[in-house]
Parts: sequence; C-alpha cells; structure tokens
Amino acid sequence: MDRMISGIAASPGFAVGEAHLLHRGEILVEERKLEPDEVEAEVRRFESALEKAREEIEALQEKITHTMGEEGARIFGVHQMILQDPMVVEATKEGIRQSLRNAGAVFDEIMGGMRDTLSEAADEYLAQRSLDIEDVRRRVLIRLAPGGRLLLRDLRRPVVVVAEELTPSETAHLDPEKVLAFVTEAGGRTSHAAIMARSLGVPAVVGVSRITERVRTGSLIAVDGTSGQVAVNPDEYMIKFFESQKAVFAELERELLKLKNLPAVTLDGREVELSANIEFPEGVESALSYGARGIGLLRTEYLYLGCEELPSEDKQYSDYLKMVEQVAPDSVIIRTFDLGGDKVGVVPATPLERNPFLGWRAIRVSLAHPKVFMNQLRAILRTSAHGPVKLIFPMISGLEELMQAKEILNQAKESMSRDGMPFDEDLPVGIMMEIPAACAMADILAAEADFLSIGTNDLIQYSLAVDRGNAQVAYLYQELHPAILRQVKMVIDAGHRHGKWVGMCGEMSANPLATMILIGMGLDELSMSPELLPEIKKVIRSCTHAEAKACADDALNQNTVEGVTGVARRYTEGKLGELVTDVGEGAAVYPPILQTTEEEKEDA
Amino acid sequence: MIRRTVTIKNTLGLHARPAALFVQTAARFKCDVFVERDDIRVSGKSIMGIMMLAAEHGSRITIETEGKDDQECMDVLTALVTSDFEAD
Repeated sequence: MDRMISGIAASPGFAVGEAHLLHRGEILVEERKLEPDEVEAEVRRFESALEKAREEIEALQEKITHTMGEEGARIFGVHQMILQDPMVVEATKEGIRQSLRNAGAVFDEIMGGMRDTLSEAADEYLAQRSLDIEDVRRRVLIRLAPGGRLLLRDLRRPVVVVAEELTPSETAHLDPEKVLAFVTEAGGRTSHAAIMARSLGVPAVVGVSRITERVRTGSLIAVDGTSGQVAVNPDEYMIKFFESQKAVFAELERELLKLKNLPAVTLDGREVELSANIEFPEGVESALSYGARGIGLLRTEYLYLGCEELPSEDKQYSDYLKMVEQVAPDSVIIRTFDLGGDKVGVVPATPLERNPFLGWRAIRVSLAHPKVFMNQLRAILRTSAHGPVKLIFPMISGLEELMQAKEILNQAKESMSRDGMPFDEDLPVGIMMEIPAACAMADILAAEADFLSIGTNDLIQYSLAVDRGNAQVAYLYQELHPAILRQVKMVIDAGHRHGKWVGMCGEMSANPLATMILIGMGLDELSMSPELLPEIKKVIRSCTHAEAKACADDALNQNTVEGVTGVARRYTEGKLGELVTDVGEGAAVYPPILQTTEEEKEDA
Repeated sequence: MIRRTVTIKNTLGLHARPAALFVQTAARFKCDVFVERDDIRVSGKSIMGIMMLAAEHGSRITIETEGKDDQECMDVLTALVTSDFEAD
C-alpha cells in the first residue's frame, strides 16, 4: 500500500472511492440517445461544428503561412480535406440518423476507428497521419461537447476526480451527484477546484505533486480534505480508518447544522448578516440548507462558460427569477460578468494575453460590449420587479468605470420603461472592492455606490503581488496580513462614513480566525461558501462585539502575519476549541505507521 | 466504366500530401472514382479512404472510373500515380 501523499487541504471532509483520472487535454465523449424529432437538429449541430472547425483551421493556416511559409501550412490543407471527406461527414450524418445517437458519439467512433487503423500501419509516415486524424477528431469534438474540454456529466458512478487542474469550464457542467472528492496537482486553497469542492460540500486536496502519475482510473483513493492528504490504493486498515473519520466529520457537521436557524448575533446583541456565495442555480438549495440569509454573491459566469452561444436576456431572467423566488424575502446580489474577454464569444479571437489577471476582463469587457452588458442588466432589472435583488459590478478600478456602468444601467432602465416592463427603481448598485486602487479611494467610490463588497481573493493577490496558483509563492498569500487588514478597515470606514453597508465575499469571510477581527472592524455582512457558514456563525455567537473590537484593535497593531495570527488565535480559539478547522494545519492525527516520514515528504 | 491497374511510382507511396493531390484531382471530375488495393475498395475522392489504403511505393492499385469524363479522369490520375509526383 502506498503511504499518505501530502497536498494542500482545500475542502474539509473524508472520502474513499474509485479514482477517475483526467489527463490534460482528455476529451470525455458523452453518449446520448436521441428522440426521432431531435435527429435533424443534431445533424445541423454537427454541420455547424464542422463549419467552426473549418474556420479555425483556415485562421491557423493563414497564421502559419506567415510564420512558416506554404510548406508548414500544407498539413492543414489535409485537415480541411478530412473535414470535407464524405467518408467522415456523410458517414456521421447517416450514423446519427440510423442509430439515433448524438453527433459526438458517432463522429468519435468513426474517427477513432480510422485513427486506430492508421496508427497500426507498418509504414512510419502513414502511422504519423493518425495524428492528423486525431487532431481533427479533437477539434470537432470540442466544438460539439458543451463542456468544452470535457464533460463530467456522464460518469456512471460516483468517483474521486483526479486531474492536473480543473478549469471553470470543466466543472461548470458537473453532475454533483457523481463526485466524491477532487484531487489536483495545481492550485491552492482558493483555486477554482477548491471553491467548487467547498460549494459541493465534498473534500478536496490540491497541490498534490504528480498525483496523475501515481493514480490510474479505477484505482482506489482515499482523500482527507481536512488535513490535505491522499492515499492511493489504501489497504483495509486505512479504509476503515477513513470511514471512521468520515463518521466523526459528519457528526461535527450535524452539530454545526443545529445552528442553522439561529441568528448570527453576538452575545451582546450585534447582528451580522451571513449570506452565501454561489456559482450556479443549484447552489441556492445548499445555501438555504446551511442557514444562509440571502445570497451575498451570485457569480453569473456559469451562463457563459462552456456554452456555444451567449445567454439571452430571457434565459438569464428565468434563471435569476427562480433563484430570487427561492431566496425571498432575503436578497440575491447578482454580480455582472466577471471573466476574460475570450469567453464572450462574439468577440473575435483576441491575441493571447500575457497577463490575463491584469487584462481584459469583467467590467472592462462589459463596458466594451454594451449590448451584451445591457442584456444582463435588463435581465437583472426584470427580476427586481419580483423580489429583492441587488446588483454588483466586478473589478472596478476607478470612478469613471462606475459612472459608465451606471450610465448603461440607466439606458437599460429607460429601454425597459419604453417597453412597459416593471423594475425596482431603487435597485441597489454596489461594487466589488478587489483592486487596491479602489480601496485607496474607497471614500470617493462609497459616495457613488449603494454598498461595497470586499473581494479578498483578488485583493490579496493584487496587493501582495502573489499568484495564488503559483506553488512557489503561494505561502505569501495571507489573509491575516497587516496590509490587508488596513485596506479592509479603510473600506469599512469609508462606506460607513457615507452611510453605506460594507460586506465581504472573498474567502477571508470564511476564515474563522478572521471573523472576530472583521466583526470588530464593523463589517456588516459576510458571504461565503454555504458549508462554511455554520462555523462562522458559531464564532459570532460565541463572542461579544466588545471582545471582537478589542481583537480587531489588537490585530491592527501588529506588524507581521505572525503577530496578527497570534492575536486572532488567542481571542478565537478560547471560544471554540477544536471546532476551528484551521484548514492546512491538519486536524486528523494518523497512527504512526501511516504518517509520512520527513524524507518522504521531501520526495513528494 | 474503366479499370486500370498501376504501380505506385511516388517514392513515398500514396501518402498524405500526394494523397491529397490525388483526391483533389479526382474531385475535379464528375465521374465516380474508386481505388482498390488487394481486397480493399475506397472512394478516390475520400482523403481518409486513400490514406486507409496505405498504398506504399511499389504497390499495385486498381483505379476505376465511371461516368461522363471517366476516360480523361483515368488518364490524369494514372499519370499522377505513375510519375514521381512532387515528392517531398
């Protein structure tokens, strides 16, 4: 049996199950049966995918002709011919019609078969051509599969997903029922896989070096997301141990869940609003089950990710409405599009950005595409007529952007009035405080916004100049950093001076060690992944506001991360004892025989 | 309908780029084009088909054309295959 392998604890809990390994670039082809009346639409969808693939190749041909000349581009000529070959195109269409299966499955079968036959050719040169067939196969399949690179939707039974990394596109169409846990090589505590795992309430361990080399699909893997370790091919003893840890963890969760309907109020009566961050409509149920008072952040990117077309105003309205109706009388804060411009679809392919983090995304893209922006704003406005909704703009870096965005919102309101559609005239409009510049001028922005929400994930990265996904510098990403505390305080004070409420939707709001500091500084609202709510509520209910203020004052006087952490621990751990799952410190204690030795830790 | 058996002269056989040329040429004609090797028969207008044929240098294939311009097509394709066409 292999021993425990260390990684970074990303989502608490324990799981044992079959591993499902996803290699970079693997495409999982879904197999779907069609109704007779869906066949022609599917054929047309196939034709459209071929068309897009042709356009892609054409663009590539042009580019390569420039850089490498005619010779280099010629191979793409062959790819184009493959895309027009009746043996491929007509055969696929016939296959769809005859077998009533989806284009992807039929196409994959045909192309896969040809590729395999060719790859066995005795002749070296010919065998190489199987790579061309593979290239074309993938290009078209990616166009056909709504999830882009892969679909985790059609797994037959629950698995532990193991990958080099997991992008938002891949997880956007996940079937939550089928995932027992996540294990990735890349990423840190706030990487997408981690956030995803926490919102699904499954364990996750990230930053597990070379795990994809140590695991095969089908092998058994045990995951401890609380202390950040995994075991490949655990033996009976280990499995029993994990099952018992699972039971202990479940008991802990049950205890915390008893708090569900109790208010988040300090011992001396100060109430704090606790709400939830969700990434897609299914998250509302989870949020409510964990006692969230509203949705503090609805990320709307799921509407755009991995979909072939931009979401219409109607589709957005219908999604938003369902969520608002479920959450009422509490409110839903909807954040406008917060992705890179390359996800918008209508935009012609932009050159690869050297630094997408500092690049063209979020509000910048929205302002550059007012029609698309309007669609989203109108959908949100329409929803506001039926229940409590708030709007929030991401990545605001200055007053100009805010005013421009508000201007487009006004235009949206005017167009709705012209169409005779009702909306909330006083729709509250807030901004994400996630860029240090915005914090530095928080007072100016607070005058023009209805509320502020601090996005600590990005704020910390920009402020401390750290890429949280970079394993070498991830240690610098710290929430309990004097500079971060000062910025948070600056924002809270500025907001309050203008009579506006200030919340936090970054992961720092879910850090139990930060809670007393944040409450003590006067934060009005904390929004986080649903399953982390009970613990934070417990912290709030265990202290007085006076103590929290003392804690905050003390923390602000510290010069180092260590100093702040020491203060936080002193005040908080007294309240909670061992319930504080200080993710990363390791709550589980393994029997000596199973602990990784120091040398092995170095090898890992 | 015309059938002719020829020997592949191209040094690389009927592989991707020459295959592409073959298929593009065949596509110019209205007639049906088939190519056989041993007991495999493929459409001469299908790049995949021709590649599948794996016709190396020195192998014998039978070209079959049928239709309005089948004679012309056969002549052009024969010339193509039996000359050393644009070896890499």
